[in-house]
Amino acid sequence: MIIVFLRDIINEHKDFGKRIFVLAKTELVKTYKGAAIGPLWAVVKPAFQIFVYWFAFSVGLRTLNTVKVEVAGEILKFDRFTFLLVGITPWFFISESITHGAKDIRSHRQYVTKVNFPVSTIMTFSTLSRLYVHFLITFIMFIIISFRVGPSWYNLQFFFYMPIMFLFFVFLSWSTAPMCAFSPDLENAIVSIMSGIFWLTGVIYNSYDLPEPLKTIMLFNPINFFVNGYRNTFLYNRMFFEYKTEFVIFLAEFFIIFLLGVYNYNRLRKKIPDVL
Amino acid sequence: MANAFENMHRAAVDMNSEPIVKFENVSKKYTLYKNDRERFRALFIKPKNPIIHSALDHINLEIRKGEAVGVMGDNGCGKSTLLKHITGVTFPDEGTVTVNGMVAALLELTAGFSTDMTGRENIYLKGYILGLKDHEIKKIEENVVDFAELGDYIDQPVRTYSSGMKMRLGFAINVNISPDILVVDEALAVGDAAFKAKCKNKIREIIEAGVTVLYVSHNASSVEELCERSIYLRKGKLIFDGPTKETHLVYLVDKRRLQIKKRSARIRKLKEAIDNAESGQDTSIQEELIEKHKYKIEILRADLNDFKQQLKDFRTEYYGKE
Repeated sequence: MIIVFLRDIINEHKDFGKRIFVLAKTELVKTYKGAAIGPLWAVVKPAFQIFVYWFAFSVGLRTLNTVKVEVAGEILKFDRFTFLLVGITPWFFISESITHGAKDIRSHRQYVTKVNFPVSTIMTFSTLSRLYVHFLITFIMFIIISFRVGPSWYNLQFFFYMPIMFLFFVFLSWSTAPMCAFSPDLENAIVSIMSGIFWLTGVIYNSYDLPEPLKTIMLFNPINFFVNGYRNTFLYNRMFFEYKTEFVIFLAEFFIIFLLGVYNYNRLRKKIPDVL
Repeated sequence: MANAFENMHRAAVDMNSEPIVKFENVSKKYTLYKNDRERFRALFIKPKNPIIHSALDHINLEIRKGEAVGVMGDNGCGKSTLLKHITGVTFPDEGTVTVNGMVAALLELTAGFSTDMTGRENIYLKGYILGLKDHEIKKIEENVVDFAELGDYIDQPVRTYSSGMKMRLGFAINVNISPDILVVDEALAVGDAAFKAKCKNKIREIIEAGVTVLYVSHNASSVEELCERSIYLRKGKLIFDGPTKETHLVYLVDKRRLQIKKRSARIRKLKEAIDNAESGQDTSIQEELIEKHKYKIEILRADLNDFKQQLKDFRTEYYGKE
């Protein structure tokens, strides 16, 4: 059954081909057009956010200036700014993808109610547009990190984590976007929860460095997998499969989100135009 | 309007060809939710006693390539729902809808515009949304720009456009993508008189080129000018399908009958009120109303008989000859 369901989504994408990339670009243009410094906002906004967190934790709370991380029995030390910068890079993409991903169908309602449009591609091209911004931010982060920690071959793991992250949040929006199209309550719920999720994720602090059972519970937060994954890539010089428990838990979650997404999308697809 | 569509020369419709649009026993029901909470709950559990509105009721319809078909009916008869099935926006609950070809709809002309992008960029955006490829859009771009007559505004953001300009651009894009099927919903009121005439000519051109057209209007006479064949919908049911003149007369006869029925029901109610009135109570208002209704019914009856006669005449003439 899942295969039949998935076939629809794949066909929608196949027929649409290159236009997904063009529409992703259009999304970006739509977001930044009309602003004098235009695309620079994509960098200014996160830069300011990083500055605020860094100020609070390194300047305000002076004692928290260094982070100690235990990697393979060794204790590594990083200053808070470096640690925060790497962790928050995927977070920007993730939080945008969750909140905006949930709104995707509703905010593109014209595509659903006015023309015959492959609805599942909406989530793909709008997540893709956010991925473009993510590339830019990651590139800036990489340059800063190269000066502070130095580049390494492990950095190439970015090309493992990034596509997985992209897929994970596209699959998630297959569930959230159609459901939010039905009811704005869910959309509001997601937006309110997300501001809390930030503090429940190891973006500013180290999620490995928590007392049990919190440390184990944190492994079930898939956002931690990416935040720690980017740190594996750029700071810890560790492969993605080295922390097996974390990896296996994530794989299971990835699969569940995928199945739920396919199920929910197909369940609601034909009802959406009638309620939007 | 009348002049624009006179003397049309169309290719003959091949009645043996595969239908380009085919409705097979199509039903569409809308579930109405009592409130937002009810709708939220419906996401997870099936609603117990949902209010169902039946928009289309077992519709069977075949439209062949090159036909121009008018759709008649009152508000809420299912016209829009029928068109939405053809444009592929909604899906039937029962039965199947087959559409073989690209559909352009002159329904909501400004739908899908991004207001912060320029007119030219929006031509591309709209093209992508409608499923065109880059080179296909490039081919029509100049035609659209010429047709929309926006001048220098074509490279300005759409948010600076007046509503008439937006409509013009929307119309220009939709008619220039060379669709196989064109759906028109009384969208002809675009821009000033000169542009209106241009739109009418364009539609006429499209029809003459042999594109299948579905034309929806409350105004049956405008349908008559455009389409040889028409269908009449009432409360989601396909009541009649035939030559436009005949369909129009059937529609008029049916409408008068309904109106007479309504007025009779009102008279009955008023009479009941008079019967139930206590002695001494003044019932002159009700009596006056009854007289009024009776008078109106007289007129309606005359109309009805007139239309019936016309229908009869048309049928003997039309079918007698064949």
